[in-house]
Amino acid sequence: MIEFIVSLLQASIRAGTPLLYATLGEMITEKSGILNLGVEGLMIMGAMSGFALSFITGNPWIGILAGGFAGLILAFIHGFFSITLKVDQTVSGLMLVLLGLGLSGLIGKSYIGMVANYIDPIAIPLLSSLPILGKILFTQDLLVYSSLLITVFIWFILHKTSFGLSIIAAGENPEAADTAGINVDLVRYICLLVGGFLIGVGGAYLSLAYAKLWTEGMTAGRGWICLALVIFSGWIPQRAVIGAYLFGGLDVLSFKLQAIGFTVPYQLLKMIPYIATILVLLLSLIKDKYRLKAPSALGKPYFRGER
Amino acid sequence: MDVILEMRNITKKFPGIVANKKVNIKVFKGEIHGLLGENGAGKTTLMNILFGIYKQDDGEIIYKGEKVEFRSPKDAIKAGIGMVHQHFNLVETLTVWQNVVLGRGEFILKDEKKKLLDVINKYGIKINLDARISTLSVGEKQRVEILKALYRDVELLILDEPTAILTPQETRTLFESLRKMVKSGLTVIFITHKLKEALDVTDRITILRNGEVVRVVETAKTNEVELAKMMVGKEVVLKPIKRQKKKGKKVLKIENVTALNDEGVEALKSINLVVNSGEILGLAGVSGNGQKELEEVIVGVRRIEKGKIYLDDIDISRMSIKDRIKSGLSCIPEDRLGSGVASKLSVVENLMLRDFENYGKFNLDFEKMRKKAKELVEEFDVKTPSLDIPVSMLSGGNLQRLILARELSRNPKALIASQPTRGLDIAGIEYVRKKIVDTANSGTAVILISEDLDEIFHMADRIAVIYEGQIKGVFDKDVVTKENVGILMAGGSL
Ligand SMILES: Nc1ncnc2c1ncn2[C@@H]1O[C@H](COP(=O)(O)OP(=O)(O)OP(=O)(O)O)[C@@H](O)[C@H]1O
Ligand SMILES: [Mg+2]
Repeated sequence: MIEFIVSLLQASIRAGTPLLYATLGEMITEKSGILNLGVEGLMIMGAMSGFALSFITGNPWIGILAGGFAGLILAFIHGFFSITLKVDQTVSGLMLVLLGLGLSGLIGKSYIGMVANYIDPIAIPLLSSLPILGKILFTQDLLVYSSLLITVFIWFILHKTSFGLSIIAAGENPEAADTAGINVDLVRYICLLVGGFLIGVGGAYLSLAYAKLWTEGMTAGRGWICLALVIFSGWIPQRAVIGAYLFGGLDVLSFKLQAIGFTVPYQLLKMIPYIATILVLLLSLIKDKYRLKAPSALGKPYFRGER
Repeated sequence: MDVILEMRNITKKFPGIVANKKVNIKVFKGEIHGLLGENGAGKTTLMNILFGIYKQDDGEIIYKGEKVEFRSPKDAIKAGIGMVHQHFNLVETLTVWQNVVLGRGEFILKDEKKKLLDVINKYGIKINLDARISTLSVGEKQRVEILKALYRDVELLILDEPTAILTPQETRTLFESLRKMVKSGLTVIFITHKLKEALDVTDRITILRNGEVVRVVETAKTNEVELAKMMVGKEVVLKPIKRQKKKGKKVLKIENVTALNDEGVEALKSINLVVNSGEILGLAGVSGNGQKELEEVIVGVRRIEKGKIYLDDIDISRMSIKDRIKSGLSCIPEDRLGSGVASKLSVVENLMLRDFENYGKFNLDFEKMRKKAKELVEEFDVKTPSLDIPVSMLSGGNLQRLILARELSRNPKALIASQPTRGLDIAGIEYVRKKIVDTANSGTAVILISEDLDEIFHMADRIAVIYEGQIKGVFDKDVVTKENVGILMAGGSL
């Protein structure tokens, strides 16, 4: 039994890591006031580009970087529409989903069923030989460790630096930011691009470390879950870790239970993350205390001097 | 004296209106320069141009002897200009000191409180640096804005109608701070349409009317009557208000009403009030003591936790907003641009917002609506270049006239008027007050919510005082003094 739980938790972290990258990416994007609904599109492009580049160069790290840049490029398109042209962010975001799914299917066709070089776990000396915790926490790959560092880093930026204040101001009250001499558009671009990069890395992790293969549409709705996870975590980076691992765990659980001959239809288990999301959203509506505060200016284009 | 700022021949056009026509203004170093003018005179526009928010169509700006062109507030701030806007630009979720250092400071935030405390002590600004903005009163928020400017080492500070939202005590404190600032070498531009204040605190005054400079005067050499005449363009006499007192029946009855504020804290605690037909009940209180919640509970946008509200003996406390309006309830909300109008809709649409159902079921009779709107615009003298522009382009005073036109033309049984004259000029104030009194004279029960005690004593028949969500007493106007009401407003007892 212990064995089962340990391997479940260990797998949950791995399954949660792509979600964590993408959730953090979307979170800093939203913190600055930009809603990027294209997470699914960015992730799948990240997954495909990552796999392809690892296949071509033989270096999975180049693949991860490529995945990040794929996300960044799509994010840039979103920025051009939503920040520079100030058109509707919903439309532009949804367009990215369609673009990402379509393009990755097209370019990725020749990589289906191929084998590339993958990111392998590294057991950290000493720590990994701890009982139970050692296996769960310290036999993961580098990207798992770095995702936690990035979480701390984002928290630090948001709360301990002047740039973090600028991000929060751009997302809460862009006019206040502007009159304080902050370049709102620039701040939003930076957050969007960095966020896009992280989302892309999340996608690449999926094909290069988690599933270790490329198939069309392999993100399977994870991008949408990440959008919900941002809300679930109340725009707080630390909570994104909990949310991502929880949802990763639900994903893994559906496999594991089948493997040991559990008879609940797997479709039901697959539904759990979505039902959990709905419950969290409901909870946040019912009780004011739990009300999760979105940045006030989220999704609103900023025009200077508009009344 | 040194000239710190000169704006020459500034012209700025907006669609359908010239907000500034060849405006010239000269400001000396170390003075408090008043910019006086009615609603829509173009005061804010002129200063927004200086601050880099708008670009002038024509004219030039000389600042500290050099021709400048600020592309954004950032440039203006860099040059040492600070501006406190009519509406605040604060991030509600951040604390005072975070708002102050926003856009400033080194990458890794250090403790800037020491420097802030120096500024605070130097100019006598009372504020708690660690408080979250959302918990502050409007007066405190304004101090944060001023602190923001001072922290940035401004040389020229622009204040856009800073006193519109302040209590008399807060105004006095502000003026003291301003005097300390100019003494230490700062220059202040003070926008206002309140004559007394202009006379009280400025050194020189530039008067704007309809986008043009009427004259520049030295404050010591002018007086209220002269200023009013220049500002309005004709002699102004404040007429006393004519009230017809007749004791009517009970129209609006509020029984044991309890409600929560946005934070989920009890903002109204068992409120009981009765308003008779033809009566004006003044609700006095420092803002933030439950007035907003009361307005919202009566209108129906906030849920009642306990208690009942009756309009003509009909319980409306569970009714939809629409049904309440149909039953004869009108409201002039405190937040005009937010809940008073749909700011992106046109003048016609906003005027017809309450009763477009009368203009057809599926296809609205737009011709008829326009005609009616035109009548209303004329009757209530709403100045607008066209019936089809979005109402967000109207000046504050005209927006208020538009709301009055919509709400009063329906002959309501009961009217809630919340801070109806805030931010208006003399002509506007007089007009709005007269309209509300006329409405009461015609039999409407009126609740007048105001922070301005003069206004309450001027208009109301009875006065109720609200403090921390409780009614501290209801008095006939003739048996209570301003002092006593003031004591109750501050939480004291008689
Ligand atoms: N962004 C804008 N778009 C269109 N019209 C505008 C805009 N800003 C101001 N105006 C118009 O320009 C005129 C001058 O407005 P401004 O706000 O400068 O007046 P003000 O003197 O500050 O008045 P108030 O005392 O009401 O604040 C008004 O008629 C207003 O409707
Ligand atoms: Mg103004």
